[in-house]
Amino acid sequence: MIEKNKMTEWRSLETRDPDAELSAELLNEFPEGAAEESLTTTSRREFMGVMGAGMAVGAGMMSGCVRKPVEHIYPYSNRPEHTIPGRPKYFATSIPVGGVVSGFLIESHDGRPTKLEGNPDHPTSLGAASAQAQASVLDLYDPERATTPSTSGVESTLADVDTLLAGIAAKAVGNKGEGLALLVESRPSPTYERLLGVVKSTYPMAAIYRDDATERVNARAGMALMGLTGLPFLHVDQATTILAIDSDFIGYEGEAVVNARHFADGRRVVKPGDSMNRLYVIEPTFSITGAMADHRQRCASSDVGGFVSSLVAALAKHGVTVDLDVAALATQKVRDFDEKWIADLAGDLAGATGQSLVVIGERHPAVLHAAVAVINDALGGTGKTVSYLAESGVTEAGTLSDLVSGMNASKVDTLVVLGGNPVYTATGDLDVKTAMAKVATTIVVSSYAKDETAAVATWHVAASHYLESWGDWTASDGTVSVQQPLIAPIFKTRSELEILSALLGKSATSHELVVETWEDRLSGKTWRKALHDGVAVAAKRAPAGTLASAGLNKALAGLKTPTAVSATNLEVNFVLDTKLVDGRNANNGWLQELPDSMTKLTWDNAALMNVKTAGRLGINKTPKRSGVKTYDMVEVSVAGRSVKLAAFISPGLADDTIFLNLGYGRTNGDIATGAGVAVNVLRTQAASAFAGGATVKTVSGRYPLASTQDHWFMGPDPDESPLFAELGERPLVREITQDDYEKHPDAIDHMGVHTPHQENLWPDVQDYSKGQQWGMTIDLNSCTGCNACAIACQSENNISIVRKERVLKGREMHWIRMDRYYRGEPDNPTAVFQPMACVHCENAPCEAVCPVGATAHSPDGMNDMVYNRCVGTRYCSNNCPYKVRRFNYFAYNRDETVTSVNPFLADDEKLSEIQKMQKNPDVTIRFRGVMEKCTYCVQRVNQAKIEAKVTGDGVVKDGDIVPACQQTCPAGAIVFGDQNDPTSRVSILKKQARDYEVLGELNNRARTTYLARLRNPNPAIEKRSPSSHGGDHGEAVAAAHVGDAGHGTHAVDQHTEEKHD
Amino acid sequence: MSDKPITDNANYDPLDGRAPLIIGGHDFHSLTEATSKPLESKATTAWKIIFSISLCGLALYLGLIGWLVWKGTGVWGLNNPVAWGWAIINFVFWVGIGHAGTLISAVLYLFRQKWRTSINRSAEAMTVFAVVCALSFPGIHVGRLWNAYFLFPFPNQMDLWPNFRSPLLWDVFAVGIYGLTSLLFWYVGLIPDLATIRDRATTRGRQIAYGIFSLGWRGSFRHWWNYEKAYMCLAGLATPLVLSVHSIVSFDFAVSNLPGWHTTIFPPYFVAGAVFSGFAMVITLMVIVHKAFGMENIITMRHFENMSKIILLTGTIVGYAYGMEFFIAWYSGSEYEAFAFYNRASGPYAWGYWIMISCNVLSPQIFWFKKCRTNLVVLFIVSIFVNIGMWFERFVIVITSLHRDFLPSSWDYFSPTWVDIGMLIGSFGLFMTLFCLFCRYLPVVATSEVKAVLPQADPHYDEKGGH
Amino acid sequence: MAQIFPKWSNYTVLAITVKLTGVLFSLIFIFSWWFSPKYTDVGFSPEQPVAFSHKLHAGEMGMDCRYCHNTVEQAAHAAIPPTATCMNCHKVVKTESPEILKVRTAHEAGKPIEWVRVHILPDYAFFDHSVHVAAGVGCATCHGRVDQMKRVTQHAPLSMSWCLDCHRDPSPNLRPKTEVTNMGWGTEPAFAGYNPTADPHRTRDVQPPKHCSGCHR
Repeated sequence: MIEKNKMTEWRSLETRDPDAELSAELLNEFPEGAAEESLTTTSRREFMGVMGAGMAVGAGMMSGCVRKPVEHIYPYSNRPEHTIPGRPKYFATSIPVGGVVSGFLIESHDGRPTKLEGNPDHPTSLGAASAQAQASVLDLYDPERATTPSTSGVESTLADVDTLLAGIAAKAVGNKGEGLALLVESRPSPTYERLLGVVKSTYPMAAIYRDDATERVNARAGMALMGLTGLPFLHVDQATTILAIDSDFIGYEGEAVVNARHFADGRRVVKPGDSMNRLYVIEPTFSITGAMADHRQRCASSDVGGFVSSLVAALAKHGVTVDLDVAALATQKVRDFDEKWIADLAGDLAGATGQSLVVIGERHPAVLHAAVAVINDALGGTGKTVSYLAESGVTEAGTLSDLVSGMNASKVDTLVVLGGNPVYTATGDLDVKTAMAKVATTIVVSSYAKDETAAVATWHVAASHYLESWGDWTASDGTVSVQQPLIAPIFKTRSELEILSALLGKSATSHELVVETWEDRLSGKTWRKALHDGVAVAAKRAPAGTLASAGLNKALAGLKTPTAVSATNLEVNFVLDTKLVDGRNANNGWLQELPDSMTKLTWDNAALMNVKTAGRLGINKTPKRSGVKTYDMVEVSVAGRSVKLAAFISPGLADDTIFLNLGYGRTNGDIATGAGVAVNVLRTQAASAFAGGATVKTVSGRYPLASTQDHWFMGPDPDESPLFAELGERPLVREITQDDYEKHPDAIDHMGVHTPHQENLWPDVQDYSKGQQWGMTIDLNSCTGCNACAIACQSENNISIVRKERVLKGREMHWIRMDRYYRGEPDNPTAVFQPMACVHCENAPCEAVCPVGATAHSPDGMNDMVYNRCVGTRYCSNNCPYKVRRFNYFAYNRDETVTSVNPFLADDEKLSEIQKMQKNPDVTIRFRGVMEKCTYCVQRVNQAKIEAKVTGDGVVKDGDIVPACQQTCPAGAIVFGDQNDPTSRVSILKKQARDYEVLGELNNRARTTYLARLRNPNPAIEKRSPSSHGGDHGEAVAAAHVGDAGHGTHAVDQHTEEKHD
Repeated sequence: MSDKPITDNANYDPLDGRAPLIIGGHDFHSLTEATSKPLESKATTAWKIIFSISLCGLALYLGLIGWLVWKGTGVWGLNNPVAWGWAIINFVFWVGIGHAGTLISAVLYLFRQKWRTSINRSAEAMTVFAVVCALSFPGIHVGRLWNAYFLFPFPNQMDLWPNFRSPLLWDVFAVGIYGLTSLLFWYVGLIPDLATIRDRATTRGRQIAYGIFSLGWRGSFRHWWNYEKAYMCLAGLATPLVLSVHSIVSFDFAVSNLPGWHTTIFPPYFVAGAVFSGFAMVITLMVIVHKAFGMENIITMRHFENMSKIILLTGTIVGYAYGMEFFIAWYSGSEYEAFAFYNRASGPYAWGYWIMISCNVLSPQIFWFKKCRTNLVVLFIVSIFVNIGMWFERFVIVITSLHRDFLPSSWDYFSPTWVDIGMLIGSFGLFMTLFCLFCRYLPVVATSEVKAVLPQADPHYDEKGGH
Repeated sequence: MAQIFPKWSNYTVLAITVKLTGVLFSLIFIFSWWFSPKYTDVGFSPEQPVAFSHKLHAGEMGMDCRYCHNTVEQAAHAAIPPTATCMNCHKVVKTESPEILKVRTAHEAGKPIEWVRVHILPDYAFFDHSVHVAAGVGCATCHGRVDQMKRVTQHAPLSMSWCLDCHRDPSPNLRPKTEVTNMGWGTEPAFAGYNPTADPHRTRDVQPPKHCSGCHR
């Protein structure tokens, strides 16, 4: 009778797999080597059942039609040691994410890697992980990954690939590799570089080219000007005064994860009066680093040189002589820039000798990197706040343009592209496609057969995911760690290392190759320890030498003055996308749907510009509404080439600058296709980061952009209606200067709306004074809004993506909404972030109104959501003042390509096998028609409580429960724990004067409270323009007074922030 | 008094007593003839056309419900801040419509308002049908329809009860009971007339059909005696329901903490609004019915005038409520509350708000003039306006309160999909289908009760020199 | 003219009302009894691929449950033993029996034996063996006298209310940790006198979760 089980929620792949017979590829997973960690090929298959796999069609049992169908259990044949079915295991590994090498721990559920965490022992992770790193796990389970090699579109086999490569190797041995060209990406890996070296030595005629958008080319060239071979490495923790020149150093650039942690450490105010570091930011864009700044000034990219020159001049006035040919720089001029501001800045930097740090963004030319190095040196920063570490073993390689000219001159007959996607990423003046057509054999190694480059290649080799192959990586500080796989290649794939060795005529596995590199240094115990710790060689890198600015001054002399940016000379900036980078993450649904930190755009890029510029170009300030929001289209043209895309107004950008994010408009898969517009065509080798002389004109047509937060202000928009004008800002993100906080610590409380004492509608369901009571604090003074928590949450809690058309309708499912508010005038605002998830109110409005009691309170103070009881009235969402509940309007866990034959059937059964494997078996998959929301990672809470009960007195120790968001937060802004325990971290933080409850006036008694944000402005600048930072004490007090005025006697008033427990 | 039958009882003011309710010189027999004609004659083309249109609407409704269950509630325009949309709006709208019936039958009955007799039957019918439409919406608006039985308290292996604190649960009972009582009340009232039809029936089929439902009514003294008692009791039961139902429906909003919903004024204001819309709908239907079935002498201008007075009254109460909401929003000093109402009047949905004001508050004001109260065209148009206005009132309350509440970061905009619109139209299809059937197969006027208000019913009629 | 309706039809209305009420109540009964696991699940005893007898192994031979189900104290799942566990003995014991032959062939082929699951919980209910064993809930309490079952049969309804009965008042179902796997504990004299709160070996008093997220994540 029952065709399939009717359960609407499922726990894991195993319990839902329709016939328990996963396709052979899926089952054939085990890490090679490292046998003690691995399952055997067959046992992998058998574990599938341990939790009860297989929903075979079950009829004909006693009381047949009512009973659940038969489930089968497939035990191991031989269970590996230390394997407890159903208990996750963690393995250390390491990979570069967005070009930055970091160490990670991967959670493996019965052989399936499901979740990535930072490795606390790894110096460039410190236990944190970025959004991109968190999302990288999803790529392993992308149903659109290339599963087999192919030659000109026709499916092929690995054997064919081996013979092909063997042939190439044989030929190359003969002609010393003449006509053989390798195009590689930046791979700071000992084994990789070793193999490249061998290639070079065995095939002296072969040519190696490197092209990687994340490679720090300008920084390296800058150092070269100073006679150094290496890169600058920041010690943000040592700096008290920091100047970031168009550098997103705590956001998405370089070692952002550690930088953010160190930066936040410099701002962890425990009591009023504690010292804080100070951050100045000069930038054309509005980065999240800019949002954290104490002082921020806008400045077009072309004007940055001018800024540096005036800074040097200003420093000279403060007795800091910078060994620079200022005269050369002085030809640069900054447009309408407050010289006084620079003077004060210079004074501050000079005052903090040895503790000041100047950072410049990779987008700017080598000369400026060098100049900044000299400034840092003059400020005594060298070796203290920044050090220059030598890079060793980086193989010499040509550039992409060299390769293209080579190919066009028919010097290349065999091209091997190891990773990378030049046809898409190349600048507009390089026609890689036609050049490749001139090459007899082109072999592309990449994850997607539909890659723009793979599509035009004669051969495509499916690349293994990093969780499927071995490798080793050198972090920028010199730490070397091993990349260890957690699963055998699911499909017929090869890793880049394996391809390299095949090109050398050997067919070694990636495991053998890595071992070969390390066998003389690591073996047996030490090798296993390296694997276990995730650190093979501790950080050690020689200083790159001493700075010599002679070469620099020569370069400076040759510097030509850029024409000033103006309304008639627009500047177009090309920036790596914070999610897709150069497009490499384009088919990752989590990242595509993740709202950008500042613009909140999902699934698209757009021509970003500020209000003033948009006004000049005649672009409507507000989108049109025809069901969904549609925006004006513009045509951006530079040097004869042009692209059409939607215009989006983003406050705080420099005037007359347009921002175009790279990485969109790709076609390598269902997710990537249709998302945004490719803008590489506008770039040239000469101007690949920004270009002047651009023209922008509006064109006909409108385009829908899915922005998850189009409202800029922390209250009603005064421009929208005269009635709103009298209503002020709402006290949601509370902010105050450090001085004011020191003077009146209670000011934070006073910012709240005063309300008469409120009674509960219903008596408390629990006694919250007893037992362990979970609570959370989020420190807005550390939170950079980097979105890492949002993706960590998504991957831990099986949160679905809903695709652009539903984000447009406002149905995104993220449990953590990164709220972003602007303050001050729209064209030069400050911005604040507030991660907003369910705050687990003790007096929860949602609980009272649910007619079936599907959301109820736990005795330890959590607001439980019971999916299998929910009927979906959505009343709870209406009554939630924070609007943090998410509803499954459709069956998002059904594979979109399959339509359900029966709407009552659990749609999650329609997920493709490979997608199911990613799901976290400890969290229920939600069915269509149920509400969901943040659970404080209840699965982790329960696990900790169970362990405490099994092993001890049932009391969970502080720090034993770490929610996914806290675990990954680079800034360490989130703290979770028992707020009844006076010694727990969370309760200590909650005692701070800057701890407050959002919407406390509603008497919800939220368990998640926020620590108010502090700004540390330079008194000198502050005196001149007090409004230089937005929402401040002034407004706060005003708000408090409005409250007083509004409500009768103070006798009955209570402060919002009054603690209830 | 003259023998010439009075033709206009709205402008006629006799020296003794009041103007008669029934005009055109009806006696018992002619009345019965008049009221039974629609049942016993062939269906008119007009009826056929209206009925087939209604059937199409019903088909659309059922089709869309199927689509909704198949695809999920996402087929509506709902989104994250706005989790309740047109389904709830339509629900409240229909429950409101359902109010006039019970008010007319029960309250006016208890107050001995004789003029109710001509209209109460169809008003009650309208009530029952409106409640049917209303109840269809909360049922289908849940995300997992097949689990909706969780809302009812019954013993189960999970040891779980519904949450009796939830206003939605109160709704389930309030509206359910209201529907049941209205149905009973309507049916009891029907019995004597069904019997009349039965006795007049010429075919066996009709005799059996009406025979079953007239429960063997013979019009004996005992029958009448029990009937009157039962009717009185039901009237007594129904009266408090008139107030309770919409008060409880308003709790769905008032008990929540959303600015624009969290108001103590809601219960009275909802009840007034409900009566308001209910009477508007009665007028709309009566204008059609009494023209279509030539009952100008039974459903007279005086009835319409009385109803228009009630509309004027309740419309003004509603207008007062709107004003008071605004005043409190400002006076409370709560910026959230203030914003909620400023946003209604000047935000993205201001158009909805001003439609509501002009239809509900302004348009009824012309009923200050007798000319308008006694002009069918004006009556019809205003009643339509009021129906539109009251639908928009619920739209304004549900949508504008939800789309912008506490955290600006969560603000969004709601736009309906074709399914939303189709379901609103479809629910009218359901309503009209039922009403058409009612007009065709049941006496639209409570004949027996009307007979009681005829001059002839006066024991001293003959002494007064009647014939 | 003749009456259409006979005299008895006067009572039909009454009859219909009564019947309808009856139907309503029986519907409720049907749901609460015939559709509840008490009725549908208890006694479920499917044919297994190998006729393994707990009666023989756990009962007559008195093997401890944990010899095979050895993850019960550390994990949520009391995992079915790997085939290798069977072979530990059956390399030498009863090697000729056809049933053992099945096991051996499966083991040699490295193929799993396709056991049919008997105790099935919905996937949204997260049960953890380790914590129950730690609290001193005996195997037999939920699984019944497995030591007397030739073929494993579902003993308890495993319904939510059944779980809650014990979670609300666990003490009757608690026993000394040493007795957890003792199938016959219920029949022993010590059973009657046992008082968990007085047990000196207990480090904490048992407080099972009664709230939703205790079992539903």
